[in-house]
Amino acid sequence: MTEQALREPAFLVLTALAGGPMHGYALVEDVRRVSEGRVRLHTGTLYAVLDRLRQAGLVEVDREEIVESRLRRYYVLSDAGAERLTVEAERMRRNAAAATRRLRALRPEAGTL
Amino acid sequence: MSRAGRRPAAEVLERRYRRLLATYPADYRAANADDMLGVALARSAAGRRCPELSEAANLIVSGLRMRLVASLPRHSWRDPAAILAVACPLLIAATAARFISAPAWVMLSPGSITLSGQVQGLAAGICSAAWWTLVAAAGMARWPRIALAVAVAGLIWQAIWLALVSTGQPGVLWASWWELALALVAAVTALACMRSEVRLLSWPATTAIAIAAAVLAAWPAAENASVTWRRSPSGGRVESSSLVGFAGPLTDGVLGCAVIVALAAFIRLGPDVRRRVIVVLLPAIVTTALVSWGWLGSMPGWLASLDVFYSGQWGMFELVPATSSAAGLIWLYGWEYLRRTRAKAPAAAEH
Repeated sequence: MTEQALREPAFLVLTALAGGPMHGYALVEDVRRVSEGRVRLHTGTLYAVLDRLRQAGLVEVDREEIVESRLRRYYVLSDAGAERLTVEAERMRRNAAAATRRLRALRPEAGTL
Repeated sequence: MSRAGRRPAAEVLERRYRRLLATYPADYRAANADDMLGVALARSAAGRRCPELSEAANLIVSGLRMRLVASLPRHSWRDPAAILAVACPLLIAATAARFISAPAWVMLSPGSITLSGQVQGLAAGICSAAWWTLVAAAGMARWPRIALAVAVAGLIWQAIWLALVSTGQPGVLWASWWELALALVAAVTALACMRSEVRLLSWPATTAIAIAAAVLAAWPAAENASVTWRRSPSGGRVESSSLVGFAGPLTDGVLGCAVIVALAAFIRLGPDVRRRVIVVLLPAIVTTALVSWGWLGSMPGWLASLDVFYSGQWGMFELVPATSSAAGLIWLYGWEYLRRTRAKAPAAAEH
């Protein structure tokens, strides 16, 4: 199977779950924190991402709780998800390093990137 | 004051979010609505009575998209699409065979009868088949831009050609409309191949299917390869065969090789793909065989070969496999949709 690069919301959700099991709203908040306030997931987007990640086996349901008479579901990163996040982070690191090298050559003053 | 105005803000907001969640499919809602509602309410600022506009739009779009995706056929559609993407160009090549009433090398050799119309028809058929084979190959190789560009160009050309040749001759339109329809199916199926996450047919399987179908398409040519037509001194024409006694074994051999290659390709397919190929192609094979048998049986004394068809008859004849394949696809889609729906029902009931 050809693996496509993860889109940013999926990458950020996996990154958030790398910190431990989380419920939906905690994920929204953690993604916002990790992205330094740049990404605030809408509810529809979050669940679409979670569905895709669950179908791909990258995320699993950890447990369910009833809080204030409402279901709260906790999600956890699977082993495959941790592996995929590692691969993706390494790919992005290499791309960023390549871009930085080129930019240094192009504009030496950009060496602090 | 309205009834909504008297209620607590949280209650009104929850009710409005529930309405928005109604855009999701029922089974999805049964499994996830409570969890989603918790997140949506937690995201909202305290005291709000209405969802944020962007949040409402996002829920509506996500819900409708999920409904659309749930209603669309998934992999069940793509497998036969991949098969048809390969088969369509070869069916176009097979239609070119109707022009082969004498082998091309005889038609082009000095002193032989010039049958320019047949040569042109054969050349056009082969070019058309090659064009749509390129579209299918680009689809299988996941080259979307090439597949799309070549498919669109081919469709435009086919439509212009049909319009030009049928101007003032409605009969031509009736005899040739199916060529445009076949091209459209070839384009759509080739582009549909790219929707799959995995390559449905391996390159060896694709090649084997292509070889088998190409050999079958060349069958009438192989039958006629033994026949040469020469001008007689009296001005008429004389038929002679350079392979007297071998024509039968030759065609049997070609057909046998095609069947072996087709079986090898079929065995290489995954079990799910194999099952779907059977569902789609078996009705076409059976109905085509029955119609051929009935048609040829009704013409005693004629050569037992499909090259007895006139152009218009070919058009009608090719509708048989085309419509029965389409029926197979529709049946497959309906059956698998029903199976998915039944599988979802117990899961939804558990929640």
